[in-house]
Amino acid sequence: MTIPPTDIVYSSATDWFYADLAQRLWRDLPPAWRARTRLWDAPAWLAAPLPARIVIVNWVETTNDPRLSRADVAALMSKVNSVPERVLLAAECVGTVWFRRQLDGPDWTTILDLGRQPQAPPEAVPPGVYRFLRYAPTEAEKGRLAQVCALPPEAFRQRPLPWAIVGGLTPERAALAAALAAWQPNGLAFLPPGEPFQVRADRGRLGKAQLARVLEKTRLYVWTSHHAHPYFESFRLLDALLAGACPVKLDARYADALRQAGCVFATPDELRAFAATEEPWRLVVRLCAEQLEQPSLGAAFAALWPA
Amino acid sequence: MTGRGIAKRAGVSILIPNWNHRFSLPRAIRSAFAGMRQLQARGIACELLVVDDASRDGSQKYLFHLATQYTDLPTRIIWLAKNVGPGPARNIGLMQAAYRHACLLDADNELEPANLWLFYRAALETDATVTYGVLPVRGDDRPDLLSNEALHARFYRQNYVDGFALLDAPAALAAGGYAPARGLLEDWELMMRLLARQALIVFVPVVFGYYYRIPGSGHTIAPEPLAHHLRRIFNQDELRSREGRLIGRMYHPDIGWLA
Repeated sequence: MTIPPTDIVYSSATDWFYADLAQRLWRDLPPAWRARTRLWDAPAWLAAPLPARIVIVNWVETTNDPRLSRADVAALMSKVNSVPERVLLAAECVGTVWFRRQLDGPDWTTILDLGRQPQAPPEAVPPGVYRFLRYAPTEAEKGRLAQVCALPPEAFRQRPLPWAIVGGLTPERAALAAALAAWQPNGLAFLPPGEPFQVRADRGRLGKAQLARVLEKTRLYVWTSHHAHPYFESFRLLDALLAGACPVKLDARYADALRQAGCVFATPDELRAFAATEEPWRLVVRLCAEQLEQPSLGAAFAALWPA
Repeated sequence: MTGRGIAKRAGVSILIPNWNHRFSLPRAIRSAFAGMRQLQARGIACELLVVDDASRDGSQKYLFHLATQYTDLPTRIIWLAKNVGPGPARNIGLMQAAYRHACLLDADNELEPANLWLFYRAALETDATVTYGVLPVRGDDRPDLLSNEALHARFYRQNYVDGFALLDAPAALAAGGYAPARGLLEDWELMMRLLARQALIVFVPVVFGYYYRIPGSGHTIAPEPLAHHLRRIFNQDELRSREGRLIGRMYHPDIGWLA
């Protein structure tokens, strides 16, 4: 098998999710791949030799790196376009401005859509460029998921926070937080005006460790989105499961299209009925088992480029 | 005004300054009583203290009968003979409060009774001077939240935290209490004065209460000329607001420090 020299590039100075994704992906690659793959923080990559393949983990976040000047971003664009194989790794909903802005970057040879189910790419994406990578735990995270499965149901029931909702403030999320508080007042609502997962601790946002600490005390990790397409936000599902919390998505428009996950509801009333049963913990166990059966993140990535 | 040396007993005084809010007062007081019952169930001393700022809308008659209706809950009413405005009315309440922590509840808002205990725990565990939480907005078509993040330096440019919070009354009085002539900006001015004294201001990401947007009611967004005056005092040349750093902290009693 010939694995071309590959660089994975990300920004360690913006939203932590993408930096974390890049690092987890690299660490989880099969050994033969990892030996041929280098992990770069974007500013450092500007001085690196050209690889045969580059994987940019979220172009927009990378170019928002405050350490990069406008000239640096132009240089980055030019350099990425000089690499023979240019892969964009993104976990965005097709049809949103965040997805469209990814297309304003280099001429991608592959757009790798990370999520729970494939999306229909927009017309602007040339045929054959779109590929799907199912989001999955790393091998190390699978160990943690196995531990979660072995926890007693009582431990779940005794968690002090009935629910948690974390995201940027939107009218939809504000309404959901109010509805959840009307049901169980003592849930956690962290909905700042923007950048809820910003990486810098001095911004007062939740880092990966803080989010995990919140979810370890929470029964239901609830989120809602207002995309014009069915979209799951699969990273939230894994965050919840790794902390032993039950993932719950509220989606009034597309609940039917997403129901096979078992954790998507159309209304807060449906959620209340679900939460009143023993189902939330059973769902945690079932979803953990489902995640354990999948190839790990790095293995799934490597399998996209067979020898 | 000085509150230096004022000692108060452990517990919570729910302080409602009222001026002509007869229409919403029962809702605020109902939520306060429900919160007090939650505190009492946990052995925490508490009281309701209403400062009536010379209302002329029938509030006084309602308040007069209140103490006779709820005999199981300590309730005091302070009657001001002359209208003094919200800042001085709050200061009178802070001075008269029996307990160290004062829950500042405006007469048009509503406390989330189930969570008062959680905020009291947070205030005790962090020794914060101000402890505040999320306020879903009601009475408006567009769902919104106020007071929904820890304090950032941009707070010096524009207030985004409502005064509906749990206050360490002696510490607030020691800082001078609410300034009497700040128009709608008493909350903001006091917070900035407390920050100048290195006071700890803690955000708890839990619903503290419900903020009602009512025509004619005070609003967190300050009128620009008044805000400009305060910026000249606390934020010369926007030096503080441009710092971009966190100036408050985030905490949850069941989780610990989050920021």
